[in-house]
Amino acid sequence: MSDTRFISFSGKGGSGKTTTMSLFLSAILRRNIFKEILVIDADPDANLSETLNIHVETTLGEVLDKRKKELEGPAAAGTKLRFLIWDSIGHGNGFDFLVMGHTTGTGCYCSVNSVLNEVLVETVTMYDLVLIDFDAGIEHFSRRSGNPSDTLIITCDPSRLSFDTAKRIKRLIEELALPYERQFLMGCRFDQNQKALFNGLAEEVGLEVLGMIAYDAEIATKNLLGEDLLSLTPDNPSIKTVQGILKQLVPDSETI
Amino acid sequence: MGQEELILAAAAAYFSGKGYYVNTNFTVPGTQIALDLVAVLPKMRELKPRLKMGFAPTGILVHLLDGDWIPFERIVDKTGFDTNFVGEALTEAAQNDWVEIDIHKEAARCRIKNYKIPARECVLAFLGTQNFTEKLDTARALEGCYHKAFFIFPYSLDDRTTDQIALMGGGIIKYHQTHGVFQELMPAQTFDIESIKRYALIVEKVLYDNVWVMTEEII
Repeated sequence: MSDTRFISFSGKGGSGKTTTMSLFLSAILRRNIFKEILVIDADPDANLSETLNIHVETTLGEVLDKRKKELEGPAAAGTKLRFLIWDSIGHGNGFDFLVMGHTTGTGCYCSVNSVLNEVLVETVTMYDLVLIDFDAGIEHFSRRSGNPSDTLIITCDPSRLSFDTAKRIKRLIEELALPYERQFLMGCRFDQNQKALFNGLAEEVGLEVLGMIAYDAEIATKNLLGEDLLSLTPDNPSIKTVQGILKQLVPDSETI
Repeated sequence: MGQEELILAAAAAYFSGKGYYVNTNFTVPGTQIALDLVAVLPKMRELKPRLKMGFAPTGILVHLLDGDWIPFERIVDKTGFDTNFVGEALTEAAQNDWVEIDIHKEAARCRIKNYKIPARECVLAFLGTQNFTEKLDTARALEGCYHKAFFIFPYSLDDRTTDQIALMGGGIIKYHQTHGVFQELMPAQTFDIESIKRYALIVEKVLYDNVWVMTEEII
């Protein structure tokens, strides 16, 4: 029976996790190794939709607010939360897309959150692969609401602070016994000359290095112009790097 | 509740817990073929439109799956249903954007629109404790309409029975009632879908029934 595979991306804000995840999605779509893919943007500063050129109509946070408000009314009318959650899933070219967002109301969200968790667990089983873009990770991890994931990739840019965040994420995973079976560190925007330094810092964090993406002027330009990263050509060096990493992470023998 | 019903209910919960949409004691639409359990893994992208457009009238639409424009009279012949019923169903299907209707040479004809089967996987499960041979034949006969078939037993099997199941590509699940555990002793072979029509009929019915159940949710 089918098992859903999870690849989550975390790291300090601005460390390149959204870009890295977009590159992974691009590489996955090009290799055509998963049929049903769900991409979840769980970063409160959600901007993955822009790098994937997806129009987001509503977030899960907005859906929860709406349903909670309805349930506080005289009659519990309105569309059931399950169907509102399904409605909030957008469809891209070869993948589905969900933005977590955040709730804005006050009071108790226990009942709607409980349904949300239940429906999300059921919903992800409809997919072969779920890619999740977390924020720095700590928020989700400390609430223990992270999904069981077989791979966690923590991104680091060339700053000491991003390695400190990676250490904190790793410590939290251990303390909370979160079910990330494979954890890796990935460098973003590093110069090849900094490889030894990156590897040394990764060793201090205590995570296996998955790879390093060099500074890429084409990506930087696209990010500045607000263009999507799925339109990068196959000869883009970062795409090539990620394709190589993906081969290690998901060998042909494990594809469907 | 008898032993068989109990195992079937537990098996339904087992598959349901894995995200499948399940029907027990299922009759394949348009046939007398009885199945103990059908488990369908839906595709979100195809399930969602059905909530807005309504589920496709699969009993009629399957006859349009093959090709281009089909004359209305031929659809009526193929379904075996009453002309008025087919006409009403197709008109509603056109309103819901499942089909387009056109008048060609003074006769109505229909063509399917945007129809995709809303499932990733369809699994059959049979209780092996009753009518085993008959169920083995059913699984063989339906090959091409499902991806995997399992036989469930609450006890260990002899080699002969194991071989019979293995030979038809089925899997074996042992149910340990004391522990509530379904143990996959032998994996099932994955079959390609060859009979799209029957496959569509099965999965649409299972999904429809399950979504209907979901509408009872309060939150």
